[in-house]
Amino acid sequence: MLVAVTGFGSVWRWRLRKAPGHLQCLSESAYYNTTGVQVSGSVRQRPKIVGYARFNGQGGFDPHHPSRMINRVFECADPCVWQGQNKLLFKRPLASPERPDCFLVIVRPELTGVLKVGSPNWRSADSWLIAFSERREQQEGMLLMPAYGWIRAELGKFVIEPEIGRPWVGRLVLECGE
Amino acid sequence: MRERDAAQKELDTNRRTLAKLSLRLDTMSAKSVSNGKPGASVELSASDPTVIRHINNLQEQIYAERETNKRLKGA
Repeated sequence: MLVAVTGFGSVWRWRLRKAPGHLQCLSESAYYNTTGVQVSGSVRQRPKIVGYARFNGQGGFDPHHPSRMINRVFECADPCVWQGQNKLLFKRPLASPERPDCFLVIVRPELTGVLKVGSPNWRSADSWLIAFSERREQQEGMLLMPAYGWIRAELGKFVIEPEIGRPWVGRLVLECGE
Repeated sequence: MRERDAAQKELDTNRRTLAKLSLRLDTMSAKSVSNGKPGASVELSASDPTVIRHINNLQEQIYAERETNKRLKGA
């Protein structure tokens, strides 16, 4: 499946390939992105629903410039559950963008108001909640949503709308008339 | 007193629901594998996406039930 990245969660981890006698290099690392919240001035995971997006250095992901990956389209494996955690593997970015099947979306109350995770109809049935962190009034959710997928939060219904002419650029916009 | 009893009753119901949901989630995500290693997990990527979607919904329900329990305990 093709997934366009609209944003990243606040927590990054990385892991080097460990093989005896193997010369380690960053391109062979794996990078894990998930949700997090501020705790005493630093970002902590505080997971309520555990999951992550995995990127491979070998696949062309540049850990030094994650912002350059925004609006890029990646070839991904289907979402799965691995060792009790939701996992979305980003295999490699496409050389030139195409219309994606889904968007990786990060939602926070600063934009949408409080997320009502678990309440009926809080998100469209075709979306996936990969990870969710929460502490007091702070929340961060990582979702996989198709074009025009939606979430309903405190401030209203937000729809992921692809840009006309550049369908790989998705934005979460407040739907009028709610 | 009546309110407290009602809240306690609701809390008990939620506890039971949570236990059931947790059990279902555990069964789906941590089936024993053929090599018999304890605690090993099953790769579900090859499964029907509806199963993964169902797990996703159950995770949210567990979260929602936990939040309700927290509120009731605080009441």
